[in-house]
Amino acid sequence: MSVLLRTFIPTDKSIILELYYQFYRSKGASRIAAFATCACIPWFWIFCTLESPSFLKIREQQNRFYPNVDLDKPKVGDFLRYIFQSIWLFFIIQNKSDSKLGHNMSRKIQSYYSWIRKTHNHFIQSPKGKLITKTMLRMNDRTHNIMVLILLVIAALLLVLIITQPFTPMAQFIFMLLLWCIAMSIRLLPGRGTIISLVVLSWIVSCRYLWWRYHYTLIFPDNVSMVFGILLIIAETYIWLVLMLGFFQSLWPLHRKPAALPDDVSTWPTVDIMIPTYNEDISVLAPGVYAAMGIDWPQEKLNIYILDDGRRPFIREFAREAGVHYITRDTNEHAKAGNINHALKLTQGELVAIFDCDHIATHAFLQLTIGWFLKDKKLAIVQTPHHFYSPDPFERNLGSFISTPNESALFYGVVQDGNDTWDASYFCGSAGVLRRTALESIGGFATESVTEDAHTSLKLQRRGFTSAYIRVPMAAGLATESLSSHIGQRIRWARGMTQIFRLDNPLLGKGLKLPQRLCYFNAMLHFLSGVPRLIFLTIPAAFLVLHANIIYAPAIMVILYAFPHISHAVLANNLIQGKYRHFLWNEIYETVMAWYIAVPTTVALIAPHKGTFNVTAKGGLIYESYADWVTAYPYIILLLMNLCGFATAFWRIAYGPSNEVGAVIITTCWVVYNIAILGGALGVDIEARQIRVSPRVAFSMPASLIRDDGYAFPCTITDYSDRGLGIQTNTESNLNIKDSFSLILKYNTEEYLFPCEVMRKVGNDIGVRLKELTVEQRVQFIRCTFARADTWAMWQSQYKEDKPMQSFREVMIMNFKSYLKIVSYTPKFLRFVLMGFTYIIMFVVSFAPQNIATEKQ
Amino acid sequence: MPVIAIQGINEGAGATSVSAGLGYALFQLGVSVLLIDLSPTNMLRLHFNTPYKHHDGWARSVVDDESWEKAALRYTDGLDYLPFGSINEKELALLHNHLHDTPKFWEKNLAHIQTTRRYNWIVINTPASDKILAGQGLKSAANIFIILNPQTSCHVRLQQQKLPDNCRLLLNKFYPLSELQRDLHKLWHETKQNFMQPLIHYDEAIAESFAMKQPVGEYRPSSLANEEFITLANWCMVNIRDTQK
Repeated sequence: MSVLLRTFIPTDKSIILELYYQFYRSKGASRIAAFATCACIPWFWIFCTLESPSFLKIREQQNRFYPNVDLDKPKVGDFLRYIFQSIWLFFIIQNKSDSKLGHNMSRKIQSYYSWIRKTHNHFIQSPKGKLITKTMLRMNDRTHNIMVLILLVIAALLLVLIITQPFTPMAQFIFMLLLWCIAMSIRLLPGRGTIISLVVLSWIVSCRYLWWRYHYTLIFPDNVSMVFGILLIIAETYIWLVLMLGFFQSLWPLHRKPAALPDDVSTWPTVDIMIPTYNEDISVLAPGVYAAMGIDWPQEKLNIYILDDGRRPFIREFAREAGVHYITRDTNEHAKAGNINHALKLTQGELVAIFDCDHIATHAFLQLTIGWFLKDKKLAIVQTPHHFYSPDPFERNLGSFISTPNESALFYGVVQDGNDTWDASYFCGSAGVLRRTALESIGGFATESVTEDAHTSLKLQRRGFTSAYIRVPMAAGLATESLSSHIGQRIRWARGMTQIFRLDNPLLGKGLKLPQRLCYFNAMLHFLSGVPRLIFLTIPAAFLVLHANIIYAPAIMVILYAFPHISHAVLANNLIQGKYRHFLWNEIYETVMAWYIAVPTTVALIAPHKGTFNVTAKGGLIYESYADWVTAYPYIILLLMNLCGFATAFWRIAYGPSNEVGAVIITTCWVVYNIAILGGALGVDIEARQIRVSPRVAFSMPASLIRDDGYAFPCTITDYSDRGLGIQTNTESNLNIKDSFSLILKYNTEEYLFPCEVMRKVGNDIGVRLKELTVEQRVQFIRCTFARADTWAMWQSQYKEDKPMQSFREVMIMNFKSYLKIVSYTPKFLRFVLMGFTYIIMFVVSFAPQNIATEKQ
Repeated sequence: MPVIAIQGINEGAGATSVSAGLGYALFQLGVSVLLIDLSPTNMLRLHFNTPYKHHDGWARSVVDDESWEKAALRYTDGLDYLPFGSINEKELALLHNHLHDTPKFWEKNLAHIQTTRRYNWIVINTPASDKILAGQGLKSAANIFIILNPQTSCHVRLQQQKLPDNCRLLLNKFYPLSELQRDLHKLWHETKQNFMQPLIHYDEAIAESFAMKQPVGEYRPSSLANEEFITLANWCMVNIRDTQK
C-alpha cells in the first residue's frame, strides 16, 4: 500500500492516507473498501474545494443527508450510493418540499371532507330534513313497517339489477370508480348510518363480483383447470359468505352496561364458583383460587369449588388449606363438560360462575355480572371478555405484544358484542356465569362435542333462554405457551365447532330466531377457513406451474371486478373493526392455523363423533429460542410451491404467449403476497425465549415499603406477578440484594403488608420475591394486584386505530424480517447459501436512496 | 389564614411530631407558616433545633409580664415558631389563672397575627390533658385534627371522651403488619365520618429526626413520613377553606 502510494503522491499526504486506511480498517471496513476510499480521497483534494461553506454545510449534515453511507466504515460502492442519494435528494426531496404539492393535496382533501360534513349537517338541520325526521318519528308502527317493506322491495329489485347487469370493461370501471368515490366521501361522517352505507356498498360490489365469477368465468378448457377452478370458486364463495355474515354479525355492537344489583343484599342469588382443572400445576391454579376467594359477594352466598379431574391429593390438600371446596370423580368421561356436570349434581347455588384455572377474576366480577340475571328471568348466560396478560405465541414470536391487537381482541371487542345485539352471544368456557335451572333444563353441559361451551349456549338458546355479553374485562389468564399448544387449542375449537355444525346445526332445528341462526352459523363457519385458505395459498402457483386456466376472463376484467371487491371489504371492515383488528395481521394467524385445522375440520365434517378433548398447556417455560420445524413444515412446502410459481412466472413472461402476460403478472403479485404472508407464518415458528415462571403484568401504582429497621419509604410498583414484583425505589431506601423488607399495598382504603426479599437490583429498580405468605395474605395480595377492578381497565385502549396502508407496510416488513430470522435456524449448508443470497439482496438494497429525517428545529 | 389545632386524643399520640411535620410540609409547599406550641411540655421547639437551655416562650413572657410576640423564633424564611417556654408548676398555675381571666387571650392574639398578614397558615400544637390551654387553642382554631393511634385504648377513648365539635380524626403511627391495627383502621374508616383519608404510617425516620432536632422533611426528605406529611399538607390546601375571613 505505502509503496504504491509514495510513487504517486508526496510523502506527507501519503502518510495521511495511510492513517485513513488504518482508521477504516480498525472500524471494520474491508480491505477493498478501505483502499477504494483512500484512492478516492486524493481526487477530492484535487477537484473539490472541501473547505468552501457549501461543502462544510453538507459535511455537517452528512448523517442526515446520506444515512446509507457510514463515513467511518466505508463499503464497496459508497461512491455510487453518494451519487444515487444525491440524485434522489436533488430531484425528489427538493421538489417535495419546494412545490408543497403533497401539502396542498392533503389540505384539499381535508376541506373536501369538512365540506361533506357541513352539507350533511346542513341537510339535517334544514326545514326539509327536520320535516323528514318529524314524519318518521310520528309514523305509527304499521305505516312504518309497510313503508320499510315497500322500500325493501324496490331496493331488492334495484340490487338484483345492479348485481346482475353485465358491463363492458369501461362501464364497469366507471361504476366501480363511482362507488369508490361515494365510499371515500362518506367514510368520515359520524354515526352508524355511515357504517351501514359502507357495508351496503361492499355488499353490492362483492355480490357483483361473485355473480360475475359464477356467470362468466367458469369455463374450463381442460380437467386440471376445472379441478383448480372449482376449488377456487368454492374458496371464494366461502370468503364471500363469511364476509357477508361477518358484516351482519358485527354491524351494531350492543355495548351492554352492567345492571345494578338491588340494595337489599338478602335478595342476591347464591353463586357457586367452579374452577375445573385437570393437570395444571398448582402454581397456575393458586392465583385463580385466591382471586375467587377475594371476590366481593356475601360470604354465605358464595361457594368456591375446585373441580379436580386429575384426582391429585396435593390439590385436595391445597383446597383444604385455602378453605375452598374440592370435588373430584372416579372417571374422566366428557372431560371438562363431564367434570362440571358431575359438580352440578353435588352443588346448589342458583348461579354458576366458571373460571379456567389460570383465570384471575377481579373482585368486582360478580357484582358487575349478576345484575342482569335479576333483571331478565330468561337470562341463562352472562359472558365477559378473556384478557391475556401473557403474550400468545404469535405476539411473543413476532414481538407485537400490546401494540397490535391479537386474535381474541376482535372476538371479544367486536364479534361477541355484535352477537349480543342479536341475542346470540355465547359462553366461552371461562369468565362467564350461567343459571343453574337453565342448565338443568338441558341436562347440564353438552357433551356431544369437544367445545362444550358453544354447544351448551346453543342448546340453551334453542330453549328460549337469552344470553348477555358485558364487554368489561374482569378476568385475565395466561395465553398458550407455545405455538404447538396454541395450535392444539385451535384444533380443538375448530373440531368442536365443526362437530356442532354437523350434529346440531344452528340453521336447522327448533327454537332459534333467524339472526341467532346466522350468528352461530358464522361462528362455526369461521373455523372451516382452513381448506379455503390452503386453496388460496396454492392456486396461483398451480396457475403458473401447471398452466391451469382457472378464471376464464381477461386480466383487466379480473382486476376491475376483484380489486373493488377487496378494497370495499377492507374499507368497511376497517370501519367496523377499527382498532380491534389490524389489516393483514389476521392473515398470519389464519395462515398458520390453516393447515392444522383443515384436516380435523374435514374429518369432523365427515365423522363428527371422532376426536377427544385435549387440555391446553399453559404456564410453561421456553429456555432457548428455537425453530419449531415440525410445526413449520407444511408452510415450507407451501412456500416452495409458491417459489416455484414465482420462478415459472419469469419464464412465462419471457417465453409464454403474449396474451397471457397480464394474467401472469396478476398471479405473480398474488404469489408474492403469499410468499410474504408465509414469511410471517414461518416467523411465528421461531419460539422466542420465555424464561419467567410467572408472566409479569406491567402496572404502575404507588406503594410504600418499610425496611426491617423501621424506616419507611414511598415507592412505585412497576410490574407484578403472583410471586414477585418490580419496584422503583428512591436512592435513600438503599435496599440491596438479599435484603428483606415489608411492602405496603393499598386496596381502596385498606392496606396490607407483605414480607419481601430483594432478588435483583438495577439502579433504583429492584426485583423482589414475596416471602412465604399465609393463605389470607395470598388472597390479599391477589386483591391488591391482579384482582383490582381497574387492572384490566386499560384493556384494548392501547391499540391504535388501524390504518390499513400502514399495517400493510408493517406486516410486510415483519414478513421480510421473519425470513432473515428463519435463515439462521436452517441447517448449515442451506444457511450458507441463504445467507449469501441475503447478503446479495441487502447489498443491492443498500444502493437504494433513503428518505432523510426532517431537520431538527 | 386557616388555623389548624392539632391535639392528641391522649398524651403521646404524636401531636407535636405531626404539628412539626405538617408545618414543615406546608412550608415545603411554598406557603408561610407559623407554628404555635400551647403544650406545657414545650417540645415543639426541639423539632426545630432550639437549644434545650433556651427557656423563652410565650408562656414564659406572659408570666414575666412581657410581650409574647418577642418569644417567636424564625427557623427559616417562611417558617416561624412560637415555643411555649419553660415554666415551673407554680408559674403554670399563674398562667392558668391568667388565661382563666382572659378567656379570649389566644383568640385575640390570633386576630392580631391575622392583621399582620405575615402568615398563610397557622398550626397550633394543643396539649391533650391541660384543659385550659387546650380549650383556648381549640376555640381559636377553625380546624381541629385529633391524633389517634391504632390502639384499643384510643378506640375506647373515642367512645368515652367528648371530642371538640367539627374535629377531624387523623391516624398516626400506623403499622399495617398488625392485624388489629388494620382492623381498627378499617373500623374507624367505615364508622367515623370525620376520619381523614390521609394518615401517617409508623416510620423510624420521625423518631430519628426528632432525635436530630430537625423536621423530618428536612432530615429525611425521601422518607415515607415526609411524603405523607406533604400529602396531608396538600389535603389541607384542598379541603380547608379560609373560614376566618
